[in-house]
Amino acid sequence: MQNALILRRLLLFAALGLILSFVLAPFAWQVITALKPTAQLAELPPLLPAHPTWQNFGTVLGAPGFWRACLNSAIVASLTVFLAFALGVPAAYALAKLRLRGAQLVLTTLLCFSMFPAIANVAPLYLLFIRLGIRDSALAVVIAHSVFAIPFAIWTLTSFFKEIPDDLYRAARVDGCSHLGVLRHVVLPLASPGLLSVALLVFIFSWNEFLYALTLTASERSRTLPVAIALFPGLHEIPWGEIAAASVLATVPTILLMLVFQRRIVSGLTTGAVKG
Amino acid sequence: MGSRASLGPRHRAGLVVGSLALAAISLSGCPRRQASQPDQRVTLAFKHAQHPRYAFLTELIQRFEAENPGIRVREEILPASTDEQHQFYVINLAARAADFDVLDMDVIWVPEFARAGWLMELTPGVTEIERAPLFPAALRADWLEEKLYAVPWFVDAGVLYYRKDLLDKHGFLPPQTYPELLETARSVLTAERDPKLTGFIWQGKQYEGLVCSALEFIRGNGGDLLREGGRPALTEPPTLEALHFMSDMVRRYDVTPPLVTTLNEEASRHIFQSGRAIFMRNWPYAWPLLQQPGSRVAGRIGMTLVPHFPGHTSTPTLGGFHVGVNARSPHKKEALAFVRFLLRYDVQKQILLKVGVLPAHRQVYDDAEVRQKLPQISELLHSLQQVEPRPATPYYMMISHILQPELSAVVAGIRPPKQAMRSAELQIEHLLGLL
Amino acid sequence: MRASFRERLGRFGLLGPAVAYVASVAVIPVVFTLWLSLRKQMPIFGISQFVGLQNYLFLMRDARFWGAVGHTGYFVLVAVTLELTLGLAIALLLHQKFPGRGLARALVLIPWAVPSVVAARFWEWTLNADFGVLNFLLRTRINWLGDPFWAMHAAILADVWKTTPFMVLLLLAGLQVIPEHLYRAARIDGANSWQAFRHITLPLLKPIILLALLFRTMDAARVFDLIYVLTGGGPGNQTETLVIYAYNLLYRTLQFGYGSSVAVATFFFIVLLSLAYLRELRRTWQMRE
Repeated sequence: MQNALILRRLLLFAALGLILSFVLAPFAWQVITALKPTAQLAELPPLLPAHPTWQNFGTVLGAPGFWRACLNSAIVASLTVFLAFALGVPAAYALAKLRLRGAQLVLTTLLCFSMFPAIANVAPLYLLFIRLGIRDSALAVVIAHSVFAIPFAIWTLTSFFKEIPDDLYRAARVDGCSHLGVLRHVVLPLASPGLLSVALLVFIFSWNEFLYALTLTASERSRTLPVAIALFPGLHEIPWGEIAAASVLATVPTILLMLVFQRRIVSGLTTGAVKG
Repeated sequence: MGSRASLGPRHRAGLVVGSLALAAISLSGCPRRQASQPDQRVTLAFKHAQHPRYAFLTELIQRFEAENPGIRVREEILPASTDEQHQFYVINLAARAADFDVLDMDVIWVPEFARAGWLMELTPGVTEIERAPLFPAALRADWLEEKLYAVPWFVDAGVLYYRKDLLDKHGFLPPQTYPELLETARSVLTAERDPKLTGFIWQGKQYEGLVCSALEFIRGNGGDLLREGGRPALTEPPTLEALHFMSDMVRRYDVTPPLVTTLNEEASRHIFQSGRAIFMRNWPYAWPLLQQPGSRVAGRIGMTLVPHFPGHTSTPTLGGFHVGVNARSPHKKEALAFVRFLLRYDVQKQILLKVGVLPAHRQVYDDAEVRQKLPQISELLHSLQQVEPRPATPYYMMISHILQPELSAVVAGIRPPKQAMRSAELQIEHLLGLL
Repeated sequence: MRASFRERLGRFGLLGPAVAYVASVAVIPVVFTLWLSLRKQMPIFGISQFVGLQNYLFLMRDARFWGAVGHTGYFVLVAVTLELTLGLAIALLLHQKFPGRGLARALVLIPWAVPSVVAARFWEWTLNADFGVLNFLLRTRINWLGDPFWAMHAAILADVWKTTPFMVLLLLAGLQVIPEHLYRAARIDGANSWQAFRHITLPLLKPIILLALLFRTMDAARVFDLIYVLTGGGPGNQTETLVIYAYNLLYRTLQFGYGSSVAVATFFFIVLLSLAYLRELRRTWQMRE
């Protein structure tokens, strides 16, 4: 019996190793590229630079507007998540638990709006924002991002909320809970792995979004990180070393977030609530 | 991000207020165009592409401001990708936005923008005297119906880079014709016996750079894209011959690697810089990068005119950027002053020495200081004197959109030249018929 | 039992803001695009006229459009299938208990965390036939991005790398919700792992799988950045997808009317692709009720 268990363990780790290599190898290569001196960027061999340099990282960290862009990205992404949840959680709850006629229609319509190709939407939205006077602001980007984030949040959260057994919901209502009470005490705690996953996905989507961020911002004031990175290249030059360094740096915050929240995503299964 | 489980009414109110506050903060960051400055100065918004040394452009702007105390210039950087710049301009200009005054445009957009009425007329503001020293080929794109709508502030021309050390080693001179280049490349490749070395690389990816490269082959054989009167000349024998040669370089002679279909400027530069190509067609920007310490080919390269076919002349393709004034700008007078500033001899010289791009002012190339600091400048001048622009028609972007996939199909061996060009011609004729 | 007025007001308050918000912001661009698609709008030449369905009629005969449909369809099919398979496998793996699980979960998310423009540039760098590290490691000179056959598959590889974490995260969250006691009961009944997977995991995971498929399909059908940077739609237009074609029409050639009709056609294409998932999802939810 012990041997089978050990074999299982080994297989697990082998599979894990394979997957992590696939996932991490390109990223590792980016790190290596970032450490290579500019003149030797395209040299292969050697795989690893003989004289690794921090210059690319230095250039990126010292680039005008880089830190501001990070801050802007953080603000935009956080606000997008906030908006997606503030509007999406109640809506998903209503669609999942309350027997609403036309619920499917609402869901499908919301989805359809976010199905439109972004490149078609970007120009009219941009012109609208000019008229409203909010062009080149974080607010404009948040609005544009949330149009995609909210339907996604609603759909996914609806699905998670539906997992929660109806008896719990009915029990709480019978006990006299208002909708908000049910949300607060029953639904949200049970669905927290789903909630955190959605929050993380929306945050990362907004952090990395490029097209709207590029079109709706014009200056350092509101520029987000992907746009700042896109400004590295010159007319013909593409400083791959710097772009690699910037992408490594841009990825760090989201990894940290994941590390912090993944524990909560795991432990969402509160004991005692779902006993048969 | 806070705990999601406690969205009680009090919390929600707080969050709403908080978000309104944040919104207010973001909104207040919005630039107000006509806000009265305490010193009542006019602020010009100059939208331009990122340059690797754009800090020096700021220096020049400070000089302009010093000479013109009533005017300030605010730079707004656009991404270097010309597509993204084009997209920005199109959205804004089509919507008649007056958000910026002076714009920096790729030469191929000028006829289009001029025809759409988006650019202010620069004649007679920019005088004959100021225009005379500029490269005539560059200016050709700026005229529409006898009126000038933009002026070049820097130019670009395709050049041929070669490995001087390899050519010397095997006793070859830099080739002047394509057959010579082919011969030289094959001999050197055979002699060197290096499996990693290739003969001739150029930009063959499906994008605008491909049209630039292809035009040098085509025009170097006496062909062209359009004839007088705007008729497509794609299926004429000289054009087809040139395209066959391009394809043969890859497929028959093995001098150009098949991966040429993925090469843009930077990718080809990297291959050449690593010493894995004998000849490279590229723009002059690559020269200082190739010569930088750490480069495998530093001190071992030369630059010359792009080749041609026997009986014809070398015809490098013209690149570069032009400046124009937004037709809706509220500060036309000041914008014009800035444009004329950029054309001055001393400013153009600084543009070369500090910003690092080739100026549009011909006399700068004869300047003693310039010649001393940049010895390869005479070679570049040679190319610039023979340069040909892409067709200066408002339809050019559409033509390029049709042509790029067809040229790419030829280079990738998907379609033979005749079929590809016939298809392109049909599409172009259809398009012109729609207008 | 009819709901009371207060009850209905409560429901409206829950659902209303989201719908109103999305409708008001999203409707305007969509309506504008639809309106444009019924016109011939070329600002350069001062052409601005209503032409009804002419653009769509031309679309039917446009070989380049149908080529784009084919390329997009192929991309979606292959990429999403791979992403689902890989995503499910990884999610199942990460669902097991082992030391370092937390770190592994965080690391798996890295590709999704990289901005897509950067990822695209990076893959352009890696897949270069001459100096790209992939060919270096494989000791070959495959023309990944320039060969008509390989180009599309290279794009798919880059997309799979980038978006599998999205699947993993959703599926992992879905796996968490499946009650432990079901597996315990199954084991007591003598079921092995594969049977447990087939009869417990898959059915209970079905809604999340459908959801993930839905959103991934929508995104894959609108792929733009990645292919634009890697191949520009080439070689010879062999990788031109619908959104790239629309982008070229709108912003390169400034044919706003025709470009908008391609965008609208893309939308219908996506709707078509999603219809099957939507119907199945609705069925699954109805069965639950």
